[in-house]
Amino acid sequence: MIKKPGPFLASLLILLSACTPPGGKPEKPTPAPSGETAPLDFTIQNLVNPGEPLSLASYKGQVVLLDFWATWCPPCRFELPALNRLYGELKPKGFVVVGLTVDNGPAEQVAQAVGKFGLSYPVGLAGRDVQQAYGGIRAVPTKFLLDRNGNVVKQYQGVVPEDQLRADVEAVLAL
Amino acid sequence: MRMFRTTALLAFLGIAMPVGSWAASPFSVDAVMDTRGAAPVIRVDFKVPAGHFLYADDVKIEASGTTLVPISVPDPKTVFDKFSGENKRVYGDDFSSVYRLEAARDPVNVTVSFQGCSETLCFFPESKTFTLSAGQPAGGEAEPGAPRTAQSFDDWKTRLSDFDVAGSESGYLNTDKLLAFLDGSLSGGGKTDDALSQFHRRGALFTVLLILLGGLALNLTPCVLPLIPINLAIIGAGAKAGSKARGFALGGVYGLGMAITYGMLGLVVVLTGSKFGALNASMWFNAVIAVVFFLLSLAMFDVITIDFTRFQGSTAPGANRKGHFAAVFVMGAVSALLAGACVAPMVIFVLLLAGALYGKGMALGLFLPFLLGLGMALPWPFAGAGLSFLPKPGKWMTWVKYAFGVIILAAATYYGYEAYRIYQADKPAPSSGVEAAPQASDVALAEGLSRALEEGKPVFIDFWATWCKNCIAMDKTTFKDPAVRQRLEGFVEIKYQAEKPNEPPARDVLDHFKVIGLPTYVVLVPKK
Repeated sequence: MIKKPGPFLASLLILLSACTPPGGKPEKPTPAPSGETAPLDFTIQNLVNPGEPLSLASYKGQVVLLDFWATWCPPCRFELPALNRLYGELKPKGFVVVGLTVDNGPAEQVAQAVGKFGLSYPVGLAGRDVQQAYGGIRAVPTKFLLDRNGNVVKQYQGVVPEDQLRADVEAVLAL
Repeated sequence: MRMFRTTALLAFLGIAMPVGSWAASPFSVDAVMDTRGAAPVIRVDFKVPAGHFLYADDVKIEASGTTLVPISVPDPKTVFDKFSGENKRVYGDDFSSVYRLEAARDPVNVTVSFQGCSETLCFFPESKTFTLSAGQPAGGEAEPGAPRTAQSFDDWKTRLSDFDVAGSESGYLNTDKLLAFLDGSLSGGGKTDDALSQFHRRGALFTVLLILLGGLALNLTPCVLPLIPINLAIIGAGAKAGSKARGFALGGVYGLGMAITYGMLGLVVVLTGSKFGALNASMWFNAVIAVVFFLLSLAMFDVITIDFTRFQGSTAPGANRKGHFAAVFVMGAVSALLAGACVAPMVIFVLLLAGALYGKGMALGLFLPFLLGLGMALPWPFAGAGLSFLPKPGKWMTWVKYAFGVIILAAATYYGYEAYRIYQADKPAPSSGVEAAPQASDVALAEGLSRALEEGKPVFIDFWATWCKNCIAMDKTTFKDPAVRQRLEGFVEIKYQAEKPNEPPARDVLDHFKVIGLPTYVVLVPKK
């Protein structure tokens, strides 16, 4: 059995869950893996710019929206234009979207599939280890909003309305 | 606004939010092996929660070391996917698929892969392997709490007591006719009055005319239509040097062969209760037809000369002419036998009426199938006479003959292939293999009935067989029509394959539904 979260955390979660979209209710929460370096950090293959690896640490100081998605997932694809827009709009304020595809198959093939969506933000191939670090991704789209210190302040499962996403990002940017 | 405060508070306090681990996949799958039939069948049950769906194209079921032959796989729904803007074929409810193993394997590993989504969320593709064995119905990775046993395959007969037969129809139906039949059945008008009362209502003379016309139309069924050029060639070959009268006579003899044979076929069905057209399910029948056609094609190419005088035991000068009459008579008989694989509503009507009249002591009723054959024969004397108008034979006639030879050779190949196909289907287990498909169909029938009862839906049963030309034609046309597909979504659709309609267990089912020939469609409604 997984360790139970403390009462304080639990009450916060309840508050939070009132705001998450239906289906986005986190169940069986696990404490974030603790470690000296940023626990959720990863360095993976960059599908948009294969020359340089994609590292979460390199966005330290920025607000990051991690989007776990798959090219075969219609709701995920539906959200891509909104994420692209949000990135373009809020990039100057220190915001970045990092796409993490969970597609199976050779990187070149996935890169080709991803390329068709014309995304302006970085996209990486998230293997099992990265999925595991974020609680074991079981479904997509799943998104995490990270503050400038790399802490997860919000997580979403399922399609999130663009307005809500913008409001959340702006709130975290304003901190 | 509370949300902003919460996120702000969290961030301010520098508390990292825990990363959630979500509940496992909402879908579940289970596979069982049922060994109650002659050959084991594999059933795969999918559980799809409300608001979720599985993509039909991503559902894959495979067995180790052999192939799974689908017996009953529900048709997916086509829905508009608002995210991709495309139509997708999906399963939105719990469903079960039944397969049989092409080659016996025990134990067998069955791997089920699928991928599904909810309204806004897609779940990772999943794959599960079950080890199934006859001695252990619920095997392998079966999900806890869902132990399945062979018990769920109740006898279809006991389940039928919960249904009323709302309608029954036979033969090839176009979209309009099928829809009308479905609507009529559900509104209580699907039960046409029985053959005898139709006969009384219409009167004897009108019925006879109707039967003759129906017989005439039998020439247009997919069983007889391809034979028309062949038969014209054979009659024509005899008529080429003859007069109009000779052509008429040849056509007449051809028609007589047709009518007598068709009459006999009907007689056998009425007197013994066997199923019409079942002969076409026999490998030997198809093989013999293939050989007959092959020999005929050789005759067309002048490779051989069919000299029927030998069989006539006569050396009279007219013997060869007589011989040709015999050949034409045999071809008429062959056409009638092949026509048996195509059942039209008129055929069913005639057989029922003949049976009913005979049952009332009117032996004359037994003459009715012959009348139907007579109707089928009607155009042939005239066709024969028409052929005698052809110009006198010359070089061109040889080429026409060769062309017919090619057509006949194609027919021979087709029937040869049919014989081979039936032989292959029967091969795996000569004693029990024959029963495998119908047994499996029985399971599908029982399954479909209980599903209909659960969902309160009417049932549409399509009795068919691979040798039934009209059944195949239905699958390729009417049953493909989107209007029909949409209409049938309101039904639990059961395809009952009666490959050997004269042998149990198929025969029991067909007898129960009073199915005389294929295709026949039956609509059942749950009793209130």
